[in-house]
Amino acid sequence: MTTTRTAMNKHPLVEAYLADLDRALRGSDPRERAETLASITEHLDEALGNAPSTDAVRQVLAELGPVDAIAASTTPAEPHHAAQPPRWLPALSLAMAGASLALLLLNPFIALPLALAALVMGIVQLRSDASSRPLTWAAVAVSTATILGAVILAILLLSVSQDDDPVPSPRESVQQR
Amino acid sequence: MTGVSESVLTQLRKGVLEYCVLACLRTGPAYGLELASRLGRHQVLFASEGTLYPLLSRLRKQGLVETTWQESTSGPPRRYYELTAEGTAALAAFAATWGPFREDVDTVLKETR
Repeated sequence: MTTTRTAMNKHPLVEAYLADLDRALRGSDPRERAETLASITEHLDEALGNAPSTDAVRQVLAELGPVDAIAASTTPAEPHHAAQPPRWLPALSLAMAGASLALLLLNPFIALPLALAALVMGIVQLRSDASSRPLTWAAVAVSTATILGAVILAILLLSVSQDDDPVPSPRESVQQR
Repeated sequence: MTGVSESVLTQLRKGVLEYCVLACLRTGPAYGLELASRLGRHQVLFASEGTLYPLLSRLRKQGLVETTWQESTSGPPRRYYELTAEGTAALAAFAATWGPFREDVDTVLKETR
């Protein structure tokens, strides 16, 4: 059976009552809300039939009672929890930062984006998530160090390549130091 | 009815009303309007008939009551509510507990006068 059954008689007072009830039940558990609306509509159909007098309608609505009392007797709806970031995220950021530092000399073209990603993730987490702050701070520190390292490396490479024509490999420039 | 007695009543009803609904179904299935009129005769227990329906919804969710549709000669099919086996057991447990509980409360209230 459909849960949005409309009353048989469509008397304006009945329609107004059911609309009020619908509104009052907005904060209620969805299943209770649907079943209450359906069963009260059935109650009204059964009590009033097709073309009731206004007096009869008033009487039945008075016996049903105020919609707020009905809503107060329902279970409240489960509150929606704000989406929490996954708990492993700080650890992941730190792992990425560490990996980027380790890769800095081997392959800066992977290391730099990885460090940037870890840094951004770390900053976002610091602004929102209160848990695992030490890990997140560590990720930010390591990724910043990696990025600084990459910048220094780039400066060195540029200064060296101004003297030589071929761009030396990172290993060579490290050995020159 | 004052605010204080109203809130006392609300608390008391919370513990007991669902068992009274189960008790109304003890003699057999009943449809919503029937149950509402029966309970509505007891005004202290049950001032507003509409509050029956969220209660029935919870009882169904808990598996104490189930519903069936039956044809009616006087209009659309009616939803009938009836006790499940769990509902019967819950009602029996309540009935067994209520007597001693009520006596204790009465005794305490008398003793402390």
